[in-house]
Amino acid sequence: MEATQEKINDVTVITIPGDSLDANTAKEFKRDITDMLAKCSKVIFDLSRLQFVDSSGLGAILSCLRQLNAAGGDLKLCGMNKPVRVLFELVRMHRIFDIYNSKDEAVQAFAG
Amino acid sequence: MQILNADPDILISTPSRQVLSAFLEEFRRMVEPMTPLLRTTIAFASGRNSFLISKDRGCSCLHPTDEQMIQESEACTYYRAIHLIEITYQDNSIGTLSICYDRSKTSAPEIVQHLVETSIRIVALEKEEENLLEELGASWESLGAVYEITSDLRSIQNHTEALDRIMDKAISLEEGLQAALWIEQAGFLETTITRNTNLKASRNSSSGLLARAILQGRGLVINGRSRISAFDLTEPELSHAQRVIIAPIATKRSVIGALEIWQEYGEKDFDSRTMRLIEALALQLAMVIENERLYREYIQSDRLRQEIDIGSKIQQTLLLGNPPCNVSGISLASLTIPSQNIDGDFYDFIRHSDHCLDIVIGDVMGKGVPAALFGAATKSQFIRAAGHTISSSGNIRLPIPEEIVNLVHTDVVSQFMEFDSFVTVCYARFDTKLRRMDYVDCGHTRTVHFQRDKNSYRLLEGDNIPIGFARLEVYNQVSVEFSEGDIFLFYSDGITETKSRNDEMFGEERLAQLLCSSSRLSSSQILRKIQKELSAFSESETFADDLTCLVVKIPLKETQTQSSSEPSSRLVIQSDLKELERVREFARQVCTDLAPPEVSEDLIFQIKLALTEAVTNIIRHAYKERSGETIQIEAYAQDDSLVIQLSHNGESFDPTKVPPPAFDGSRDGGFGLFIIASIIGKVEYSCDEQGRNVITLIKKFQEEN
Repeated sequence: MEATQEKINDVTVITIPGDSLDANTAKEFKRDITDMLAKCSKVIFDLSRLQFVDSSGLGAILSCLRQLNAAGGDLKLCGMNKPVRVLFELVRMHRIFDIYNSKDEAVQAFAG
Repeated sequence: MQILNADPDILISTPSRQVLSAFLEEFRRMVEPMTPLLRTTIAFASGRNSFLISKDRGCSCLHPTDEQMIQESEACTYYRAIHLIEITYQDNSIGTLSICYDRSKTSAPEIVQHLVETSIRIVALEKEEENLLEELGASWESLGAVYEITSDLRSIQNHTEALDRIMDKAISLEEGLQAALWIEQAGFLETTITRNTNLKASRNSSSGLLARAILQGRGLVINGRSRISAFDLTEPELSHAQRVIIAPIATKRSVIGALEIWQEYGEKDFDSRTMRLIEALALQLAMVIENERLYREYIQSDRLRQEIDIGSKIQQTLLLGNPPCNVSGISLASLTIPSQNIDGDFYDFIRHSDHCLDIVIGDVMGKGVPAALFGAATKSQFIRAAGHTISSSGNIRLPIPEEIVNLVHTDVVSQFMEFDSFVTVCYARFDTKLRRMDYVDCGHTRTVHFQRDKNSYRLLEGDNIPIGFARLEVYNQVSVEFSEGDIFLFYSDGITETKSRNDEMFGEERLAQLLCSSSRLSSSQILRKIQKELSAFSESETFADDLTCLVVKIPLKETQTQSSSEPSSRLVIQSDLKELERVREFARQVCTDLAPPEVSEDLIFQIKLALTEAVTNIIRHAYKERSGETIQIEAYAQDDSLVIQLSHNGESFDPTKVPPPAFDGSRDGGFGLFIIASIIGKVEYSCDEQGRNVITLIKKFQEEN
């Protein structure tokens, strides 16, 4: 399943496909997303379809943040479901990522 | 958080270089195991050099004396507070530590300060004990050794002795000196030690010469009777004094008392040289008293104990071994329930071959850090002794248990006697080919041997006394034979001495009967049963003593194994990450089936996550991503908990060796175990009767409070 992207001004919104990002699916996700991110700088991940993320999935998202930061870009997250949010808080990643309730809020944060 | 091993020798070149590098080494060693809890960035500066000691959250440009820089650094926005600690060694500044911490962890600076003080103290003691310290490596074991060496200097007895010695020195400076050591307690000055006077008093500490010296924090010298009388004296001991010196006893925090020296006859005035000597002695007194206080604080501080459970860290890293899984014909399980106190219980396993295994279990008399460290030291002596090979008549062979015990006894008996301590030990060797256990019992609790063919038990006991009682004791081994289905139970006296509300002890008999009645269960099930019975008996989940218990079961041939009577759900999956979907479906199913409906939703997610992490770990680390292997997952409800057991044939792994995750986002991996530990109350590693590794997750259906 391909991730879909949408351009809002200079911000790229990527919707993470599938309903789970675990050790099995994270590898594929990482491979696909790396090229996509290479062309962007301001990126939002829309996680609203994800019902489950494990530590491998989290690691994949972290590596996206680092890839973007290294190139001077930034990553914001939106649309987190409760189980995903719980995991982020458990490993304190809500303090590393900028997390917004909705896509619009995240886009606005980039504008401001 | 990670520790950067910058070498201070390269960076610093000052006269106190040796002290500095010793301090940094000590400080790192102490701060390292606590880094997961401290979550702070610590940097150090000395002169123009600065470097990072520990690092959290990708804070890369921290200059220890430049707060502005820290605040401006984008990478450091997680921190909102900075604390600086000046490091002094014998009154000379050797550098500055800066601690950058999350304001929500308010006690971080205090803990770091404590570690700094402890490190400096150890450095000072190390200098005296330099020759002994050659043996030290860089591990936790060596921290144990440091404490073992220094504990005598810090014990109460030696603390008083040290004060006595300093006071003796003070009055030996000149003829006819009288002296009193005053220590402030709850607003009053009290004589603690006196020389050449019967003075015994408690005084208000706000008036008089003593109060003056203490308030000003400076020593005073008065020569001549008339000058002394000119003061408004509240010190009757000075009514005939010709001259007096009062030196305040000051620690880094405050002035805690004074050393008063006076002379009633003689012509020679006290000069500045005498004053300096007395001040130096007062400083020594301050150090001894402060060391004592720090030491007490170190073991007593509840707050510290909550923040960093030193005792359980020592226990986990030094005292308790992990049962090996690959000894054929033996199924092992171990249980430890730590108490509120730190105990000296220890055990370990030494595997010699696939049919020969040694078990050592011991209990050091006493409590607290010293007992734990004695336990650790004794344990490592046993491991060392068991590794010695013996060559007799041209053959090289393993030492037999009695040789091992006698060797250790010779090595440690003097130290135990010196500290008025002793250790009870049972050292046992299981040989599954010979079907024999050889053991040496050094006053330990009696091992329960369940004999399946007789369906009864016996208590095994040797006739030796604990190690540390008598130098000339010779330890002898005893042999017992065993057969399939037999069980051996080793335990600490904490188990049998567990008391009920009516002050009745759990006792040997009850324990042995319990073993007989649960002889069909697997070794880990037996332990859970014992734990349950103990809780029920004492009507408490916590215990006064550490409870340690080891079960060695000689399993029956597979055809005869009894299946557990507990109803359980079971799933067998391939060692393929594609199976994770099924694992989560299984998690949903068991939670819906077994958990009370009102908690199932949150629980489902947590169990899904923990199981996904556990299975991923097994596939990646135990099976190294090999396909064609299987993992069995079983789940059942027990009391108020959901129990999930994952069995696999891959390599066992030691969870204590896994580094903590990087919460600063600098590494992708390493969260798995942390997640499991956070979600699951209790995780046990053991192996079953077929030699498979078993990971048991026990999750309470409902969280307490």
